[in-house]
Amino acid sequence: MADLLVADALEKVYGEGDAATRALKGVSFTVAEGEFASIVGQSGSGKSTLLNLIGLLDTPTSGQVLFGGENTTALGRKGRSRVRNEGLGFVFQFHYLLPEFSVWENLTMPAQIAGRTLSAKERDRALETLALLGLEGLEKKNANQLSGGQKQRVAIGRALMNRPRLILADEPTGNLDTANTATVYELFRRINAEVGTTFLIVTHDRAVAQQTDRILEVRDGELVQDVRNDYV
Amino acid sequence: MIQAFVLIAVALGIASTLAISAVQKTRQIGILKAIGMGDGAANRIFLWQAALLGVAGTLGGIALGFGLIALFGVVPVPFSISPEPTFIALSAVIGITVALLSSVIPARSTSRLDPIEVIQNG
Repeated sequence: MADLLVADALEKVYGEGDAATRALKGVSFTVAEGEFASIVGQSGSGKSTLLNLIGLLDTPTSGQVLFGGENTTALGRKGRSRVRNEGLGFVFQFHYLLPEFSVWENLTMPAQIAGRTLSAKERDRALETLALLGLEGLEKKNANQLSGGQKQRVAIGRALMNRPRLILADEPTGNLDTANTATVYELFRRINAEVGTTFLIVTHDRAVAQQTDRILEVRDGELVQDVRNDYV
Repeated sequence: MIQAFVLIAVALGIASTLAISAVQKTRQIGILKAIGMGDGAANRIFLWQAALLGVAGTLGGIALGFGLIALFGVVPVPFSISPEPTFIALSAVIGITVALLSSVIPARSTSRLDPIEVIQNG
């Protein structure tokens, strides 16, 4: 499969002079289209910094991120926003839904941000996504009327709506109970298999990482392990 | 003179409302930016909010003014007011312009907001 993502010698330094902290020390790896991988590491290892760089939420001090063959490090703010909107989907530990809006409005937010009125195809896709996530009938409910698990499923749906090529999930089940955690990972797997979306899941939990096909381990800002997982 | 002070008070009122709104909405705007909202669109949120506040406030003010004039026609008061259309129109334009100008600072700070600031701080 072709490389969807290339992280090339990524380095991130916070602060200057004596106070400078090297959060990432030249991390390189590639992710192929359709992979289901995880980045694992202890708190403070640099894994979230790495995700922020890959997700174009932050810029590296040196090195580059290629997404779909495009060097995103050379892009300005507008170009990065476009790639985030069209090519990437984010699922965070906190759902970050907009509480004043309905489930439907939250779900279709990426299309609205892109300045489009929903096409019939997008409406069908939104309905499909609701069905896939087991949220049928909740479209008109306000986001803050949902349970924690339902909110996180809407956030996953929002990440899926533009059919991004890559979904970046940062501790996506950190606020969920065991049953909801299992549901979320089953969903990720189904989406990966049925839609072909590539997943990169950041977690501190090895048990979660063991459910993915490939584990990248970050320790003290360095990539110390990159293994195929045979235990799935 | 009184009109100038009223205008300053109105401008400060709208500016503080928008500034508070900008702080309250930082998190939402940060996440909208994370999922691809551009700086210009974030900027326009506050321009629209200011325009709506300005128009609603102006129309409300004019309606209230006419309401009071009508009331003073029923209840005897020791003065008379005759509304001048030109002055009303000028006040409306000033009110809406001041509202839009008041939105410049919150709109600019919002457009410069990096989504990472919101994501990292939860």
